[in-house]
Amino acid sequence: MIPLNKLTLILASIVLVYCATSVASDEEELLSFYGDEEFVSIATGISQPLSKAPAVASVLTSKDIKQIGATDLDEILETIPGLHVAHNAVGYGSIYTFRGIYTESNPQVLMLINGVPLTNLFIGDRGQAWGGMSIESISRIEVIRGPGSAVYGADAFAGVINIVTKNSNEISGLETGARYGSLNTKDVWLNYGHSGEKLNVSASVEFHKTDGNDETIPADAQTFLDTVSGTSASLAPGEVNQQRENIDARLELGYGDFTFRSGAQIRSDGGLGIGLAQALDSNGQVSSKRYNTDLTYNNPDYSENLGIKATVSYLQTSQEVDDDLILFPPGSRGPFFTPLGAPIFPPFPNGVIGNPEIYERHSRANLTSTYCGFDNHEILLGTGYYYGEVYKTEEEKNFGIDPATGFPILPGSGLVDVSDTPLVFLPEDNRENRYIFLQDVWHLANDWELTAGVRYDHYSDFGDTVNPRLALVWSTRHNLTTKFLYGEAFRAPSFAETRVQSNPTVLGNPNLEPETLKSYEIAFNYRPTFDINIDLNLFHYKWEDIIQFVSDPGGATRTAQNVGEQDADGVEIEANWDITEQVSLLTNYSWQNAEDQDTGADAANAPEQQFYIRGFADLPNQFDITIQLNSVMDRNRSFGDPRSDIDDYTTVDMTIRKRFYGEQLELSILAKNIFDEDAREPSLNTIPVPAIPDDLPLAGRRIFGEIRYKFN
Amino acid sequence: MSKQNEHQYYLPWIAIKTLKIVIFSVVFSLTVTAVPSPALSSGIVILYPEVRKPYSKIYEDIIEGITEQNQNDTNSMAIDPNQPFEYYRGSLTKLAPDTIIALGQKNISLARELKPDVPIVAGGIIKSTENVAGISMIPDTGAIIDKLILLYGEVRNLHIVTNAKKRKHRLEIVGNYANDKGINLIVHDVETVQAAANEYKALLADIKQHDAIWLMKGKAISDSALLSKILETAWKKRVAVFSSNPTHVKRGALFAIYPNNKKLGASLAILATKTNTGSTPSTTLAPLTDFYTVLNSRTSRHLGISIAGNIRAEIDSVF
Repeated sequence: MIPLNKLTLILASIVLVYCATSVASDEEELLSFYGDEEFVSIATGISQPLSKAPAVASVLTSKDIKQIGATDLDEILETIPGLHVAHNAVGYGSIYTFRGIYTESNPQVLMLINGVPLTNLFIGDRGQAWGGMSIESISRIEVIRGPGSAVYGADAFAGVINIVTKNSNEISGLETGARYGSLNTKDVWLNYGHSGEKLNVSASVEFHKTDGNDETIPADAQTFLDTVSGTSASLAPGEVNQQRENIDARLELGYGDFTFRSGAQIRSDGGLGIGLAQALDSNGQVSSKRYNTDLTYNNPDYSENLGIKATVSYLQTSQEVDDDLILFPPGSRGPFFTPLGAPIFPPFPNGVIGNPEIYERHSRANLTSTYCGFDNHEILLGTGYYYGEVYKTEEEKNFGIDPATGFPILPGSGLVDVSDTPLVFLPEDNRENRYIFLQDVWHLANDWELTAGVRYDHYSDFGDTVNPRLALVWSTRHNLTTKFLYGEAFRAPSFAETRVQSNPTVLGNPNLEPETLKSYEIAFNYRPTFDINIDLNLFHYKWEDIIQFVSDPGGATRTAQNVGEQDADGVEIEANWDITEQVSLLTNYSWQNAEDQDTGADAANAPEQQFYIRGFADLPNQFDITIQLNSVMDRNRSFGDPRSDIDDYTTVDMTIRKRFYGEQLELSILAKNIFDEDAREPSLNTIPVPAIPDDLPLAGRRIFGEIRYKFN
Repeated sequence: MSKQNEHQYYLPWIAIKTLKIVIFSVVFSLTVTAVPSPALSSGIVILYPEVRKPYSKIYEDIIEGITEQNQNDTNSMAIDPNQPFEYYRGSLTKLAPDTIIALGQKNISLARELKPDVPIVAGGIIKSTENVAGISMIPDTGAIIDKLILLYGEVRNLHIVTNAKKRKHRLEIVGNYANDKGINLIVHDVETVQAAANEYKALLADIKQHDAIWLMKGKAISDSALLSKILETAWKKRVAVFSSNPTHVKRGALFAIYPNNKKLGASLAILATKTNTGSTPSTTLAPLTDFYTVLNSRTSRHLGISIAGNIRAEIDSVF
């Protein structure tokens, strides 16, 4: 006889199997009207169809983001061919290196959130206290490799990264989650979405706190200063300071053709990585407050052939000091020497301190219309206005000249406030930009389409620039598309490069021209079967008028000049293969060879080769697993750097997820760099010796546990 | 430092903001997910199966369409397949419906069993084993042919590879309608999957420019190698391929249609009202006339179809 409890179990199993079949049959029937689940999402408005761009673009959806097991934006971007996320010494700030274009402050990349640029005026990046970005509110990330200035304007130069946040269709009711793991890293998030009859609402709040990477720096800038000034002040060997606390909050309201968005990105208690002057600083902490709001009217069917989109946006950013930034540690005599090489000052008892703060505002208005009234032409016409200002700069320091006395501030003195004096690090100033752009998509013949676009920009400070692009797209075969692309781009000189006059060694140049880029590409998209997609891109570009600080006659100062030039060729190949409905493989390989035309040497620091592969399997019992491998290879030193080339590294990550109660509850384990690879990003070459000789170590093995729950 | 104070000032501000969003969210979600009130009013009651996202959105859209169209009370009940029919007797009795709109195959039986005296309108299904009024998800043939003519006016011969006996009635309608529009329907009658594959191969060898192939649902075209061959030949010979499966369009077919769920909901509400008043005592499923069209722009350009003016207005999405 079967025991009662076993019988119950068998009955329960039968009921469960029956129920599962019943649900599956309903879903299967629905599926047959749409073909596949992806189209169910598109047809019901849950996700957007991926737009076809006549550029080399990658789109990563929230599904990709989960497969990657990402906890921060940079982990997603690292998976894109031709893009490597390097870091600089100041706060381990991200350097998005596209196709060999590597600079410390990385203003050659345009990053947008929902189409609104995040570019700061000070050094043209996302802000030195950027602090990373949580990803739970991200719907998808669109990345264009190569120039995009003909549409996006300034800084769409090496690449464009547009982050699109989730709307009410993508969040049903209330969803929450938390993650905890290595380096005392905590994340908590809450998303809410409701699609009403007229009003659609979505909101998200994300909280992130971490002690951050704590790898050891054996020697820093102060180590060298100690040897030449007879001190022993350096904190090296010591740990990197990468702690931070982040809050991201977003609200989106949709009403008919109008969308209102507002958001805040608050970064606080941010460690300085290695330090503002490449000397370890365990005291300094920075914060950044970024508030944005925008209103968009988008009506693609304004009239029979006319579509209109209008956007106004406002972004306010700050870089603030929470705790004194110690450029050189207590006991240091600073980098101040007589021409004969003797230290000028006795040791600074509290260290050399500088606390620069900067506050910016950015207002934009943009109007774009599309017109399809002419046979075989789609016209895009747009115009816009930008006003940005550094409305406040503040600085306290315990070195340099005291503006009240005109004499040097001596070691042991307190902090002197140099705000609102000519000695502040950057004067307050503004910039205006007006622009107009026109693009025509012309269907030349049955299988040929030509996109021709041009944009004219006028800047209040550096004048005019015109940037064209051409894209010829040929549907070569039923499963092969070939694209021939030409584009030009410009990078607006930053305020640090044009307006700084108070720095004793580095001077801005108000006569700078923008950096320019001309790019030629051939791209192939081949789909040998429905389940395999292969992309191959070949590119060549010329990057000119690169802004560098050049020694002035006399040698005491360096001034920003348009002097550099870099040429590059490269290849990117990527492939996706849906092996079965449950198993998929994605891989890409990039190779580039860039040459610095001034020195004739290969361009430094950016990887010449990158390889990435990701396997995903949807296992029985609601399990899924992802394993990914990322190799960063062949990074050269800059010309004159005595060190051997930077070691290659390969990291392997793994994510395991299990879903319960349908998909209501999900538990995951995320393991990063599971083989504890010694991965390093290059440090700057400085004269007379590299300040951080052993480069910037990245975090080793990390493990996180994650829980997600949907209240519906 | 003064900056510390600023920082301390902002954190409570954030906390208050966060709390406000949380409270707002909870209140909002409670109001949204509220269970249908057991009011003793009559009207339409919609029974729909509980399914996963994104499938649930299909039913949500149909329900939205019904609710917007219906002047009287509309209530909906998500039917959990884990529960026996009897579980819902109480709630259904309380709602006292005039008409039940049953979405999904199983809910027709549920409605029949629990409320045999209440008229039923069926939706969200392909066909029904029971005699019931409703709207099928199988699209109206005339409307599809109109769409083909709009996009590809040069079409002369329309080929369908299918089991002609099983689809006799539908093929007759297609043939007559096509004839009226000056199109010659050629039915390739096959009984097995293998025969269908062979017939497609023979058809691809002979097919001419300005012909069209209607991929009717069947096991043969589920074979991706065959579908790939069809689409490759269609590209080379400039033949229009269409179906009611949008995935085919992603893979290179010219166009496909798929349900417009909100409009379908409105049509179901109209039918429910008619059924309730007894003006159309129909016991059959009507074909679907509320659908969207998805177009492959690459294929359309290859065929020389210019998507402008009135044609653009007829296209709802583009791959």
